[in-house]
Amino acid sequence: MVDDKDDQALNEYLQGDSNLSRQYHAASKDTPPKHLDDAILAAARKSAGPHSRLLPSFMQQWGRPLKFAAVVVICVSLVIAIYDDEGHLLLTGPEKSLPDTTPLQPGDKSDQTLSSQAGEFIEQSNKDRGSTSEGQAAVVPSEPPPVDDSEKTAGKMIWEKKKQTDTRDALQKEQGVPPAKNRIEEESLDLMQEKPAPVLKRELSTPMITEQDVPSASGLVTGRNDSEWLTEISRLWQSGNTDQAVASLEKFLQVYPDYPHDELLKQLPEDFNPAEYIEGFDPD
Amino acid sequence: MEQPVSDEDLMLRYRQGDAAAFADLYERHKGGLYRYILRKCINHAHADELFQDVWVKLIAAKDRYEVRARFTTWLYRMAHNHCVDYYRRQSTTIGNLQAGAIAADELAARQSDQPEDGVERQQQADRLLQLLDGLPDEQREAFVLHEEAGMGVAEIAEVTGVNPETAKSRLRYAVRKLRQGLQSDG
Repeated sequence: MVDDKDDQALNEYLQGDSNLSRQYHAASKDTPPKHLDDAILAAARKSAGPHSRLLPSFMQQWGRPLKFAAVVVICVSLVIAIYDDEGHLLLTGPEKSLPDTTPLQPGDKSDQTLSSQAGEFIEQSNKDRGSTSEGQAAVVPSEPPPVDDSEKTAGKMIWEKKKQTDTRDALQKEQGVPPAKNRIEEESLDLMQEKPAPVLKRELSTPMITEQDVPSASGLVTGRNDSEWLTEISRLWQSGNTDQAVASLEKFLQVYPDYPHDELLKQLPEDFNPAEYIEGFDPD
Repeated sequence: MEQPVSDEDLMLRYRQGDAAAFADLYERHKGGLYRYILRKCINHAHADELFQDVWVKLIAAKDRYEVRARFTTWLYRMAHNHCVDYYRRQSTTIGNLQAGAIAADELAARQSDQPEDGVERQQQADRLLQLLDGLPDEQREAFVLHEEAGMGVAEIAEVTGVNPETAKSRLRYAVRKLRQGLQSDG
């Protein structure tokens, strides 16, 4: 019974703020003398080392900002290094894989092949780098190449490639070997066998369309210039194939949209008035 | 609101060479530890010597420090062991030092410094200290550990090296005797 009462009193006391505790703390205020404080702190400093007071407090204050700054610097350096590497890779790819700058028509089969190869190459490059950023992969190839030495280098390589191709064609002619049907098809075959550097090709090749790549009304027309094409149209018209003549003229105007209409009319038969058949054709 | 750095973190920082962390730690515990030692030996001169020894031991042991328990428990256990060793070497029991250790003139000096309206309160405080000094050493130690270091029964047992029931019993007797002593005076 007494123990229970004592236990209760003890529990109340242990919870704190008892009258006994207040009286004790009011009575007991002894502190160590100052000389002891100084001696102990001096011993602690001595044990911690000569720079102990400065270095830890400096690190406590600036440690985290410095670590963060270091991480940022490393990340930025890595991004710049990767970007530089990629630019180098894109602008100085293997010479053999550089495609000709022969203009292509959108939708051309060989152009599609090149484009898909280009996409695959970019994807592969990004995978090789461990890049997970789709934005980067999308942005880098679509940006125009900067006008600098790299572009000059690329232009020179293209010119040299063209020179090589011309020389090869001449040799083939001399040896009686029939020339390739289509230079783009030939290059496409080359590209399928070799690792391409397609981005440069896409950037440097202007999407021009020539009449050589446009099928005429009677099939593929190759090796013609504008006046020859118009002569053929005239011939079709005069031979009574008016529909074919009009269709061919429409193709002609797609290929040469800026061809002066008055010049065009001069080369067509007098009784062929394109304005009657083609919308938007203005003879003046 | 920023959390205050724990004693254990301060000690770990000091182990790594941060003397400022030790200064914080010392400021937190110097009063309580000094009074604990003073209540164990009563004599101020001995208390000063023991107090300094304990901190020097702590400084020397900093490289071996690991967070296994509360820093307070570690510190007071070190102090307890050092006091026991000290008086064992002196072939003197702590109890032998109690009698007359607090000089009557010291108590009288405390009273004379107080304003008249505080005299009664001071007399009561001095009476409490006298009652405390009259307790058996183990009971007094248990009481002081609770008051100065905020320890519960389990920690008191750990510091003094006894089982919790013993520590609880000591503390219970100490509280009962002190209350009874103050009531009989009132």
